[in-house]
Amino acid sequence: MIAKLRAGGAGIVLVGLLAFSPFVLDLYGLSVITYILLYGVAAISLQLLWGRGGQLSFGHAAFFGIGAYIYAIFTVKLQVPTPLALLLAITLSALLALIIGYFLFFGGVRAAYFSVITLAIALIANQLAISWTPVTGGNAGLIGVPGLSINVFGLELDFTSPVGGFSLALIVLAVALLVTWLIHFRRLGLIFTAIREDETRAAFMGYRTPAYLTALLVISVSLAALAGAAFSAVSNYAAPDMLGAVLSVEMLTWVAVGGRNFVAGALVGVVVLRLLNIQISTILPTSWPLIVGGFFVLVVLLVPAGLVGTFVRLAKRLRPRRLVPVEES
Amino acid sequence: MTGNMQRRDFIRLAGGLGAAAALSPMLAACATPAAAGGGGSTDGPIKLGFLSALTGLETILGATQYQCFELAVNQINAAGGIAGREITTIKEDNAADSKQTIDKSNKLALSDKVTAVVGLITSIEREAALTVLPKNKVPLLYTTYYEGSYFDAHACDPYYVGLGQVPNQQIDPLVPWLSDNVGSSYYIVGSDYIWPRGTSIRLAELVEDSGGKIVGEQYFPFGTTDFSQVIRDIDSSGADIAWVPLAGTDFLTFLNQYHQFDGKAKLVSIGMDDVFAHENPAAAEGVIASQAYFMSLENDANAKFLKAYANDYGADAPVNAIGVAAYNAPWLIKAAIEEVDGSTDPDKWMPAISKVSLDGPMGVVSVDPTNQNTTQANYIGEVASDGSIPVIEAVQNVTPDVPGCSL
Amino acid sequence: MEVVVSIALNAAFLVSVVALVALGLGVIYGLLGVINMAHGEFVALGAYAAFVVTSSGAPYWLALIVAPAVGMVAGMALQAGLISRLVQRPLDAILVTLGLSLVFQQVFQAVFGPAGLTVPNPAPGTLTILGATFPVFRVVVIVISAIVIVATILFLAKSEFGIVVRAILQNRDAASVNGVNSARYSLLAFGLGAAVAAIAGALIAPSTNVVPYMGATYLAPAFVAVILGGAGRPLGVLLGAAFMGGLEVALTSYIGPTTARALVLILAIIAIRLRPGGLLSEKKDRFA
Repeated sequence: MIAKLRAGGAGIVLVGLLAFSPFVLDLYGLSVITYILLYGVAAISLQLLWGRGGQLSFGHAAFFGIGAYIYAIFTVKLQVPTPLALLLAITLSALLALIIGYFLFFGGVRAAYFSVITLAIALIANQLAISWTPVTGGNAGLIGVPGLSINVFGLELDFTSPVGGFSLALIVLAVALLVTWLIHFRRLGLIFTAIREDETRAAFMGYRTPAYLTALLVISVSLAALAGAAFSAVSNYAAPDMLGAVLSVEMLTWVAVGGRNFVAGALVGVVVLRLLNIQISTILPTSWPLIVGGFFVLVVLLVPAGLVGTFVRLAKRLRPRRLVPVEES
Repeated sequence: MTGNMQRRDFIRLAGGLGAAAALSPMLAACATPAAAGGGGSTDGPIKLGFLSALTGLETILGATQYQCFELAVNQINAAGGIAGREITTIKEDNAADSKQTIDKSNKLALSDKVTAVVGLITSIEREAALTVLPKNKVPLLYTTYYEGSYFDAHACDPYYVGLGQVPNQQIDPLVPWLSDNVGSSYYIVGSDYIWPRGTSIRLAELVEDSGGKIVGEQYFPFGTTDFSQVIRDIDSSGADIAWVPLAGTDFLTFLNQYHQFDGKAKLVSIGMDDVFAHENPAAAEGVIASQAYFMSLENDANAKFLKAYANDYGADAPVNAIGVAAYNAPWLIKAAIEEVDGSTDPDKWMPAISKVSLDGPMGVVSVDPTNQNTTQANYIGEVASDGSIPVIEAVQNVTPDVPGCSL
Repeated sequence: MEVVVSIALNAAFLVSVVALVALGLGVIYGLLGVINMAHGEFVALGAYAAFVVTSSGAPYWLALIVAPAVGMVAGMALQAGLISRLVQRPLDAILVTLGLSLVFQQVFQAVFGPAGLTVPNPAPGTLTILGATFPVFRVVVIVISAIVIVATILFLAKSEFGIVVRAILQNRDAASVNGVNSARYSLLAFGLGAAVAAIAGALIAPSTNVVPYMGATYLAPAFVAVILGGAGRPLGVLLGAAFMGGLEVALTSYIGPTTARALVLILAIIAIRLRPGGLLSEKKDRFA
């Protein structure tokens, strides 16, 4: 119970502190943090599937990018109002996840097999985005994607300015944190943990494990698609590399560096790696991947639980009582 | 039960706080003035941003492009800078990735506040940069030949200058020459994306008008490692010309394999230039190329340029049209800014950029006021066994045609 | 007739290449449970070895010895230095190889530059086989690949090393109880896998452009081929490679290259779903 409140409190404090960003950062800093928050939600969605469900997706950017493209296609090509396009991005992606989950999880596909199939899905999605030019704009992508602006029941919210875009990212993050918090502190979280640790035993206990895994995939994909749609609304752009193998791998590194067993790990990983990437690529524009790749290798070798995981372990060792109000499993 | 109550209250609280936290800055935004354009200052150095692919598959093109840009900046600074002000540069890598391009464009515009950005290779990079730079009033000078306005590409903006060729400039002079010297039936093998598909639309129009024929057309995904089947298809189609708008490494892989299979049709590519020919002269030999620049051009400016380039970057470093356009870019910016008495306000010097012209390594170039692409020469050449590309035919002052763009 | 022959020959070439890459990947995966994400970089290493050999004036054929030797040393060094520390953590080992692939690409670029390098065709000229034109060198590649593949499979099936490897594959715990020093075999397996990948790189080099990032293009199809074939079954991996390479060549001329590539991946997904244990497995084992 205390853990639950602590986790919730930490989330609120985080979102509350972030809300001050526009007052302390310049416009570039604001754009950096906006994208970090959206990548953070993508990382949380991957962490949910990987850390909680034990199913590693090698192609998770596919779902981020599909969210971005659905939002972009419906607004640019079909002139659908932006809030509706956002909802469509989430629901259509969720539907896709339902089909994929039914097809794979009920068929007994797990572990490395699941990873390879998700990679294949990302490759197919990427190729489709490049080749299906009339709909997707081909490799130049879809330009002129409108920012989100809500105008219903007398409520007017405009997210098209730089600060508006940041606010959208912050709300999306708050939603993602709320979803993970609800899952973690419900029976559902325990069931997922049971499935991850020993699926056969969980099945013996009477849980329909494929159904639970499918549900987890749907939630994870919906969050990734939400982040992607918001990304496209903020950047006014949808491009094929938003759903390719490169971003998929990058997402993996975020979660691994931060700590795959912790929601906070996903966020910390994004912050550390994005800031490292931005700084190093300016200082060493022709060889920065060497530094970023080397850093990643060192983290996996030396702190395999990730930055947050290691921190939690150290904190536990120092004090018997649980200290850090982050999700642990 | 108590737990449930607690949680509900908690959510309500969280929701309220979250919404308030998110809304307050939005309200505050109304009071904040809109982003000011960079580079409006009147003294101190003039900052130019360079943004291109310096890591990843396009590295060889981006690296060449940067060296040409750097050479021009050094030469301008040695001769007194722009209106007496020194140029400083900021070099950024976009890894040929849209997200990285957006981030670096934001940095150059909002944090570094550069006067202009030069560079970029692929369409995806150009479009991504255009989502950021014009709205912050930072001009973009794009130096790569590209597909113009095909498929709604949006390279038509007051803060955009296309220094590379558009399809009509590379293809219109080439097709009649091919009809006279090679043949009139074409088989197209391209990479599956917008530049090959867009330029091939233009090709098909011209070929049909001249009574020729496109007998086959195949587009391959990036990273194709084997072209054997399509090489066989070209042979059995009996086409006179294999028209190959393939990108990067895939292009060289194709040339290699075409050579292995001893393909019969004459290879023609609007992507062939000195950089590619230099990588594998044996496979590139005999390919017909059509570009705004070849190293073999004989004029004083080019001789001086090549000498300076070899001096700085090595005698065997090849240069291409993308690079020379990046070399022209700082000179054009200089001429435009000096035309408006040294003002770096983009609303003053950008309109002036179409009033100046430059006699550089590729001949005379000037920016077309209608679509802000570049009027320049086109050269047809054939790759020789040493990888050089002697010019066979030259057409001066070809105006760029960008349908639907009128600024 | 000519069409069929030419498709068969071209498919044989692509399948040989994919099979070589996948075989090395499969040996490592089967034995260590590690999907070597840096496997493509061993292919590139072999290609660069071929470049160094030919540009130093030595005959290309020497590269077919030098490349696997270099690959084997590099693979063993990687296993001994890094992967062996992650014995109980195969997932972390995958992540480490992922980071290493980035590092290797940058090292290649630093040493050899970003420009594509050329390895001259050592056997120029074409043959006419039942009406189809086919380069001599491609015949050489197919023959050498076949020899390497058969040798590797025989080695795994007959040698003491192979027998122990298969024992470990079937039950790692039981094998270690029986006194098998699995660390030594892991070292050999990684070296063998890397050597086969490097041979593939040396064989590919004259037909392509040698660039720092070339490995990535070969990893994905090989990766799918391994999973299709069922981990640790060399014959299955061969079948997986035939599926990936053969279908692509056969379909390309008829439905276009892009659609062919996508369709092959979709068919692979369906095949994995229907036979989670691999193409050669019985239809059981619902939990892989």
